[in-house]
Amino acid sequence: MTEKEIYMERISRLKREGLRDVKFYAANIVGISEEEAYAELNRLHAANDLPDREVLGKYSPT
Amino acid sequence: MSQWSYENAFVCARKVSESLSRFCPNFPRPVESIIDYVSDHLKVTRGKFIPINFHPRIYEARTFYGTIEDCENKVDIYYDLNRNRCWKRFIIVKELCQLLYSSSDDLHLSSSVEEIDSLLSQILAGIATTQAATSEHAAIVIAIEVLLPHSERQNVNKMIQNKGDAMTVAKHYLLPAQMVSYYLHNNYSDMADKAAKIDLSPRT
Repeated sequence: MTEKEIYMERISRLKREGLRDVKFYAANIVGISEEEAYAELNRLHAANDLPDREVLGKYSPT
Repeated sequence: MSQWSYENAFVCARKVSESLSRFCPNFPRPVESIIDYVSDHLKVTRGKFIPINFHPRIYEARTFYGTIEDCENKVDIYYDLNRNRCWKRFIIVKELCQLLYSSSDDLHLSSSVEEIDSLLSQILAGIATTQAATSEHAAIVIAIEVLLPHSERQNVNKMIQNKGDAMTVAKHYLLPAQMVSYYLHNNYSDMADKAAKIDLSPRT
């Protein structure tokens, strides 16, 4: 499967589960290929949550 | 046709910022208070409690600083933990600002696979004329105004007159210097000024 297919499979699943909207904060887009962009999104979703109490306070994942 | 012009974004930003100032009057504004505000807003506009889950992550980010997935029963906000404090605050607030108008304007929703594919293609191509891109820009304007409202301009001008610069202001209000530079731009200031003069009192 391509990185794009992996990501779109995730979106399809979320859509079935009630996804309303997705938005991205994208920067540094110059020179990024589509496959690299989807690979980055897949890395994001494969990673684990880490605490960020300094910014999030009580909303930080523990 | 999108109703999200820059003018509307500034008016929306003013309303949010004025509401926030009632229970969050000090600066830098704590992100926690802004989350509380948006949670209350979602409860009112969607008629039920919608949990907002945060996912600070390390994923070798190069292009995507953050993303938001808005679902029927929850909201997930993912962001790059490797950014500095000011950037993390801004990314989170900007994603939260998407929720402030998505609940009242379903027209801009892009939730099908095809629409998301199209949105990503537009982002990667650097196209900024689409409705989705406009709503992105609107969210950025609102996020700047939440963290550094137009009502603080007098204080900001004093800082600049006392040999400060965008970085000085950024360190005080804890938002990226790049966003302070936008705030200091004449066009931005003019639009914020115009929005500040609009009568927002309820019509009888």
